[in-house]
Amino acid sequence: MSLPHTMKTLSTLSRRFDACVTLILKWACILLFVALSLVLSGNILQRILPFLSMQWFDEVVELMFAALVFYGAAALWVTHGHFSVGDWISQRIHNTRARHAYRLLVEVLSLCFMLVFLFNAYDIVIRAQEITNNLMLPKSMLYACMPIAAAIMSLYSLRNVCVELALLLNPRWADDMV
Amino acid sequence: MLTFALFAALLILLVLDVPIAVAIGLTAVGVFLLEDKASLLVMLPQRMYSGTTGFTLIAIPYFVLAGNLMNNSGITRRIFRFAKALVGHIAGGLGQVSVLSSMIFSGMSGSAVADAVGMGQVQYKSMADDGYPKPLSAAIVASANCIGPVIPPSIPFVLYSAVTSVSLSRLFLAGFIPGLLMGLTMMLAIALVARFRRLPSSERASVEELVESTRGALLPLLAPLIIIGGILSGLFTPTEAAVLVTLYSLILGFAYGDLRLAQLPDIIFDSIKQSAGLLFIMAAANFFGWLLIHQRIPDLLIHSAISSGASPASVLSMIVGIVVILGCFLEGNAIFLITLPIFIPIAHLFGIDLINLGVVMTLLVMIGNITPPVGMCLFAVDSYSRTGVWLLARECLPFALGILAVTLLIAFVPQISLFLPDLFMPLK
Repeated sequence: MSLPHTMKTLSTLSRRFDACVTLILKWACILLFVALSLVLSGNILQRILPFLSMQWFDEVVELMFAALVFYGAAALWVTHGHFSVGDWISQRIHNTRARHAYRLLVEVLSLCFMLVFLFNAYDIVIRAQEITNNLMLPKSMLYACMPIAAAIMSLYSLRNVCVELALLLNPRWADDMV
Repeated sequence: MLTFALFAALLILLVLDVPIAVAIGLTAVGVFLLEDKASLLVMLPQRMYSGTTGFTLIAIPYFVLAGNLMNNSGITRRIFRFAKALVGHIAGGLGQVSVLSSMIFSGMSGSAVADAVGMGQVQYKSMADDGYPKPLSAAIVASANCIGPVIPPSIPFVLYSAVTSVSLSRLFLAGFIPGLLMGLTMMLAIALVARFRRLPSSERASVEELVESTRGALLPLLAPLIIIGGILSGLFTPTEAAVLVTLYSLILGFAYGDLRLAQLPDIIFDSIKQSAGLLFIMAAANFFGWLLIHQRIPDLLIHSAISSGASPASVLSMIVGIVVILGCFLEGNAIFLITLPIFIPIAHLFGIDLINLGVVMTLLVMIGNITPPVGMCLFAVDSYSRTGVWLLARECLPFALGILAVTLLIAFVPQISLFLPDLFMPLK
């Protein structure tokens, strides 16, 4: 198999993987959001109908909202959608290799942060011993969304680093990656 | 020296186009690694987790979704028609309509950029079709939609409250008068521009049109009443008000027949992603804030401010200057999250009211939305008007100066913004 053909196959596989990850994150976020809305609405009802008991309210809301934020952030990471000042530098770099070297630097910096976050988030999940007051949930369950989201973001950062590195080595591969 | 190096490193990462959340987090990680305190990195996930799980912050995705639902249903058109019937005939007709419709829409949505993309397209098309110069039309739209986060509900207010622990309800009330002043200033500026450029105005609306447009906009106009009425009466918290307004927008969208069930998953997912982007910055900024406290940077700055004999007015002027400059280069909410851990202890020590400071900082951040090179509302409006960011920014200049004048007035006469909170929710 020729190298351009391999690049094209990898690119197709990568797109399918993206679609799959996005779909899972999309529906996980939507379901969490709907569930959160129901719990919050239930809390207002509980004030009107005081016989309803929602002592677990704070814990469930915390669990769902944290998951929503970190999975939402991961979904945004997949599409390069996080807020930034804007890519005004690479538009001014006319040398193709230099442009990819610059993009590689940005991706490596992002990967470094994500790996530090992943390592420490995983560590906190492993070490967490406490349980919540009402539902007796292990705290590690609440924290689990962080290493999962960090793993997804690290994976995508790693892929972006590989892509930029490949383009730095041979800019003509860009056509095969479209 | 450390303070300077810290912010220089952050600025370099931001300029390199590293995502804002990563730039903030990586700067803090770098400081701990350079100081050989890698063991403290265990605080990174802890601070990121605690920074995003405050109950107040839950309001953000709901206010974003409420705005997106209204923009995707016919509610924006109804509000625009209502505003046109009210002020379309005065000097600068459709420009005035754009400002008034933005002021009304501000009572339902809390994001300037979302409003500029949603309501903004209706406003821009009306003006462009009516023969208004396109760059001026785009500038009016970009500036008018900056009112959104000043009149409650407001996403910057939610963030500010989460970071500083000041009452969100009092902040919401404090935004009303400055928001109205901002709108009136902009209407005055448009009237002056209309005279110079001979802009057309519409015919006075007939009584039938007035009644018909009011009827069409009546239900959407109830949304701000749900939010503020519910909060003031103690029926629900601002977060719960956000949930209820979202449900209300959803019901209206379906009732008007403009919203389809098939659209809903994408609208919800887009809203979640918009909010998550912001909250992920908040998470990283919480770790950055902890670093600042760990390095005693606010204490050092307070010490140097006191030793230099600074007065509250000069401290406030310094804050205004810093936020205006940062506003040219950074997204507004990121400015809040980076600077507040430093500004709040200083403001507290110099007796600057934190509610008023929240309003002033929000107004300043709105100026940043229409100043280049990084003006989020400029980008949003340019995406459909295609006028070019720099030309658009030049046309926005009179409006930006107007907002700055209102900001300085609010900054140095805090009684204006504090009037409503002190009236309805006095501090015990």
